[in-house]
Amino acid sequence: MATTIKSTDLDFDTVKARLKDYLKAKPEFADYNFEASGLSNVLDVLAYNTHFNGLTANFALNEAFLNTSQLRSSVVSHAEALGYTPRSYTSSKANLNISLTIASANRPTTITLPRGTAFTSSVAGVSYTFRTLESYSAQDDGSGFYEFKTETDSNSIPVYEGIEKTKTFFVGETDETQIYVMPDVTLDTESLLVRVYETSGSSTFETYTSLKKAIRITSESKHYQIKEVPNGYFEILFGDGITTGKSPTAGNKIVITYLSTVGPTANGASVFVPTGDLNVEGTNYPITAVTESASSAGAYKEGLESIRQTAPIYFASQQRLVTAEDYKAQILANYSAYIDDVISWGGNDNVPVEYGKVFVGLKFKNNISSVVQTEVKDKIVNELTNNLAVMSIDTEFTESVISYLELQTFFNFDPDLTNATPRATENLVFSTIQDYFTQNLGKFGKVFRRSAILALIDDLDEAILNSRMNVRVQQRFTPITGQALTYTLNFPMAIANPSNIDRIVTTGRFEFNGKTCFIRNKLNQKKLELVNIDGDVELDNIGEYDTGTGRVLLQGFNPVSIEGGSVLKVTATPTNQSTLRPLRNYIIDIDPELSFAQSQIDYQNTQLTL
Amino acid sequence: MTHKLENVGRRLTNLHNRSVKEVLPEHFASDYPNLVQFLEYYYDFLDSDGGSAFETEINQLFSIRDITETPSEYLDQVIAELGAGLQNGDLFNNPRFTSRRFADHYRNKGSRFAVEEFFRAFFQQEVEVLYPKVDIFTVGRDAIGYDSQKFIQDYKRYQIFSILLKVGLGVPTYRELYKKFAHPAGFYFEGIVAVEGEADLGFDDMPISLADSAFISLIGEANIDISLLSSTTGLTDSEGVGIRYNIDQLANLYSTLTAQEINYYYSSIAEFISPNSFTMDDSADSNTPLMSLSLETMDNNMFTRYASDSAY
Repeated sequence: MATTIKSTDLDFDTVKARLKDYLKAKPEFADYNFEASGLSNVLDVLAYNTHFNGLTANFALNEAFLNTSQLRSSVVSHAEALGYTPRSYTSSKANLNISLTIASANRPTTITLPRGTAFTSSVAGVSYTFRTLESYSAQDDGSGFYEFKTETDSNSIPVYEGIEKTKTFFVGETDETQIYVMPDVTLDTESLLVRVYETSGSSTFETYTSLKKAIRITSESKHYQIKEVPNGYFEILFGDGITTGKSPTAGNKIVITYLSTVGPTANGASVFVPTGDLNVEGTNYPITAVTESASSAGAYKEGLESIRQTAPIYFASQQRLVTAEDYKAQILANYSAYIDDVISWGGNDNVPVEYGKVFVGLKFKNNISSVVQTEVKDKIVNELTNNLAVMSIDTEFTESVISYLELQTFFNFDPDLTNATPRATENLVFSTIQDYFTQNLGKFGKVFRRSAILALIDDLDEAILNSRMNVRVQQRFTPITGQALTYTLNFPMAIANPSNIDRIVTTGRFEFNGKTCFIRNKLNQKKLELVNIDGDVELDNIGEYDTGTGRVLLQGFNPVSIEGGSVLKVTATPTNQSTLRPLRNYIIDIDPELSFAQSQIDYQNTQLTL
Repeated sequence: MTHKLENVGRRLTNLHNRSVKEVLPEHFASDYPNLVQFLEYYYDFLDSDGGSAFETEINQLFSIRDITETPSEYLDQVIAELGAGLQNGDLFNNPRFTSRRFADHYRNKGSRFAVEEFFRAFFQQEVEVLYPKVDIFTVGRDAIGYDSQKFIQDYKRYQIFSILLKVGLGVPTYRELYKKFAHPAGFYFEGIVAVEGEADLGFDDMPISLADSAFISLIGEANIDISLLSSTTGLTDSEGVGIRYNIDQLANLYSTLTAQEINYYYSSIAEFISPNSFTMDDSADSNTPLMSLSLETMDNNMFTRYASDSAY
């Protein structure tokens, strides 16, 4: 959250009181009656003037810094000063296998699918148009079947949601600063196609590309920059024709084509229908589109908090990948439409250590398919880390691991102090806990602090007198049934020492030896035993756990089936239930199925017996 | 001539004066002097403290993002932007200077220069950056044996991806910031605490105690002006030759030897504390130790000085 600078006291009454005291201290006005209506009215006006101008000064101060700015235009402007361009609206993207069949014997060897070929698809009953942003070619396979492919010979053709729009500018006298404003707040900056024609009647053009893709800039480099301007529109800038790239000259015509998109609302489209046939040598042929991955990664403009966090570390990376945080900055800056969060660490900090590598954990947004996830990872390596990282340092992706918390919350509740029922309050407490997880956890590096939640619970209602919470941590895995195998689960914290009362490590239920069983540690021991639900020991030693490393080892585990599906939950009591700080690629979340909030009626009477 | 921060003369003089008298009709000055004074006091009030007034803020707007001139509380905001999320400049001796250096530092990341600048800026320390790969034993280039001081490649210090930092700080003090601002991810790094101080071993003045046996004990006291718990290197003069030795190890090793025992084995202090002195006793029950290197292993940092089976 943004902080704000509070430079002056903006309370009207305080301002007036201080002004009064100040004037009273002056000998000329020492004996004046400042409460008299006339003078009091004058003081009101002056205090109001002070208050109003103080407020304006305060706004100006706050808007001067990235961390304290409240206006998007200010935040974007500060980010720009750090070299960071916030993400615009981003089109939802799907991957299709597009093909076409021509039975005619006089068919061409190669056909082209033009840029802008459109497909429609529906999400939640609303139809959206997706289109190609490049042209693709296909070769006759000998039988008249044409499958369109990319330059890298992939048959995965990307299509993007949006309405294609065109804006034309005529370049005026270039001794005056030319400003090319794109009046569209939902423009996807990645979709821009900038063409410059010599004159208004020319048919040939030069294509300008984004400066972000520039490797070397000369006076002849054809690049453009795009920036968001205060009213939310976008402005196109060209070089100066001398050192910062080629500049369109007076009389040139600039034609900019782009997608105006709805952003994330088009995510999830899975059935695509071509809007028309493809004309090949004068004959129309129907296009076949098979969905490889549903649409995803559509996004609104980057949020202010995201800009605030990413811009400084992006500046620190200086378009290089040296420290672990540089990886995070560059990946977030380039792929935030796909990714909620990134964590990176050097192989020196990995377990086990692997020098010469940097590990990257990505938390993809919801509904990003595995195909797209793989595509994004490939892009990160090929477009980013292979080019910007220290030579010979490799990038390795790791999956994020979710540690689920099982929270047993108890609170003392005095019904005399509220109209709410205990059950309603239990529901309120539980939803508060879930909201806390939504807002504060679920990302890399976010720490669970029990006291923070309990404070929220205590403040919910006067009738909640106090609260407490038992915290257990759960890791999940999918055992292979019918085979005796060894499994190692790593918890992201130290596990409590064995106790003579409570079981520290337990599992969910599964079938073994024809019985419903589970695993638990033996009392006072770290050894694990496999018992049936009647408490009879089926296997005396199925593994062990280690307190310091947080590791749970299951040896020769051979379940027949897992109750409720294929995933087995293994739960452990942490050494420190108050603070759970996730390691590396671990993310803390709640298991609502195994968490609850329970009230204990407390009329605050003195008890006579225990 | 130097200037104070508040008056560096870098900007035009503030021309924003209070023109109460000029703005009011002329006769106000004579007819309503109290009103004029009242309004002038009001503007004085605005300039007075900043507690309830805005003049200070208005006047500062020109320089609010000027690293040289901005007040320290606003400089922290600038540092938060330039310093990759640092909350303030408390770590720096001169936050204004460091703020200007951030961009250069980032561009130098991955170099020895960047690491040196990091320690200078954040911890006001000089660091020596070493690359242990130069001490990796290479077949065909390096001689086998202790004297070559070459080490078999391991998966820690002695490997290609390794950096050794010699600085007067414990690693926990700088680990997180170093990783955030300077450390090339994927490299092993190890810190050596470099302690520099003068120790007076006082061999000339050391007290001689009465021995608890027939032999006197040699007791020396070294006063070292350091407070770190660390491995300490001693530097002393022995018959005109300056020699270094590990004080901790030496003190532990020889804590039970009497002066006569030491004198019996060694002809000089240099020989006494030299790691290469041939002082092994291979004998079982002899008053005179037998010296031999035949059973030595080469993997100890220092050779054992005397055998457990020695008469002494």
